[in-house]
Amino acid sequence: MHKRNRLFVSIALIYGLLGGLIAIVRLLDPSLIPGNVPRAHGHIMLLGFILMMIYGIALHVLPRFGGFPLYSERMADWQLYAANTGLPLMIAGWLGWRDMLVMTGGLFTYGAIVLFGLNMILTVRGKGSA
Amino acid sequence: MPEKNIAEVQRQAHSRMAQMGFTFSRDNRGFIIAAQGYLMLAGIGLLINGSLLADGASRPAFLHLFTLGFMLFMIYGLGSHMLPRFTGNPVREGVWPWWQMGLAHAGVASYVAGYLLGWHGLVIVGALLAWLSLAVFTFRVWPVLWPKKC
Ligand code: HEM
Ligand code: HEM
Ligand code: HEM
Repeated sequence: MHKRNRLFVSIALIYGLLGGLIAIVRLLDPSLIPGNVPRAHGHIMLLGFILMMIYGIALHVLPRFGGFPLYSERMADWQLYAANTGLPLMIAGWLGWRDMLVMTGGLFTYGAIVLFGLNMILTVRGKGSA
Repeated sequence: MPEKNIAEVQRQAHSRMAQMGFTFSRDNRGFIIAAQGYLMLAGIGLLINGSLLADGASRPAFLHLFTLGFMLFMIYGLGSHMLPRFTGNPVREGVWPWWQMGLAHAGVASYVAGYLLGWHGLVIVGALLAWLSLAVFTFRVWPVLWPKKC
């Protein structure tokens, strides 16, 4: 399994633990963490835990199931960087009430989604590089 | 081929696949089956509220029947089945998957019951148990992803 894909899965697990933790802290005392904590928790879980887990597993398995190598390893690397630039900015934006940060982070996050989507389409349609 | 032979061949093929480790182990089978159960429970929100999620006190309950009950259990079952096969590294077994499963069931159940009954303490207990099960899962798959160099 490619190191980048193992990183995706590992980072997903860390986001999962982090997202659970801030939800628990909020349940214990809502004043401990400032900002829109449920929204941050929801997106840490869905974008950080579930989506990064899917990224790591799908980047490994879809080329194999499709029978062609991944269309572009470089695109997948940039996807890792973009996804992990975007989400921290979004979280910072929600916890700090800074809508501009959420928007900037959202663009990176969306960029990762597009990179992944195109890479997968080009892979599974059989336009792989070998 | 007579019907009996086909059944026999199927049985042999199945047993061979089980021995080679293609098919789910007992713990992962349990996770996947439970996920479907929680999905159906989450869907009850659809029947009661006319939408999966109503704005109200029960919203986090049905929401987490879906996210914790269905999504998390699917990841548990598929993740600990696939990751060792993708990497060739063993996942921590023994009592660990059963602790993970027990904590997750107790966690979802308490969390959901807590919201439905309006018992904040029970919600917190459920939240902690669910989080612990995720910690156990992480502990089990970490050496699959990052094995010690030998
Ligand atoms: C460790 C386990 C978890 C705990 C303790 C937990 C706890 C919570 C709490 C306390 C809330 C706020 C409820 C409210 O007052 O409205 C919440 C909301 C939410 N949770 Fe979780 N949760 C957990 C796991 C998950 C997972 C695994 C997912 C997704 C895969 C998830 C997705 C969400 C979403 C989408 C929201 C709604 C956010 C919003 O209202 O904008 N949670 N959770
Ligand atoms: C293009 C795809 C998707 C769109 C357009 C979409 C859109 C939405 C919208 C508008 C809501 C808010 C509904 C409401 O508040 O009543 C919602 C809720 C939700 N979605 Fe999706 N979604 C998409 C994909 C997904 C995926 C892939 C997942 C699972 C990983 C997911 C999980 C959830 C959950 C858990 C909620 C409820 C959380 C809450 O309301 O606080 N969605 N979605
Ligand atoms: C490019 C990535 C994303 C960005 C920039 C983004 C941004 C936002 C923003 C700004 C809100 C607040 C909306 C409001 O105040 O009414 C929101 C809410 C929400 N988002 Fe996202 N989101 C992204 C991806 C996702 C994904 C992939 C999911 C689900 C899998 C999701 C699920 C939700 C849910 C459930 C809510 C709460 C909706 C509600 O309370 O009605 N988001 N998101």
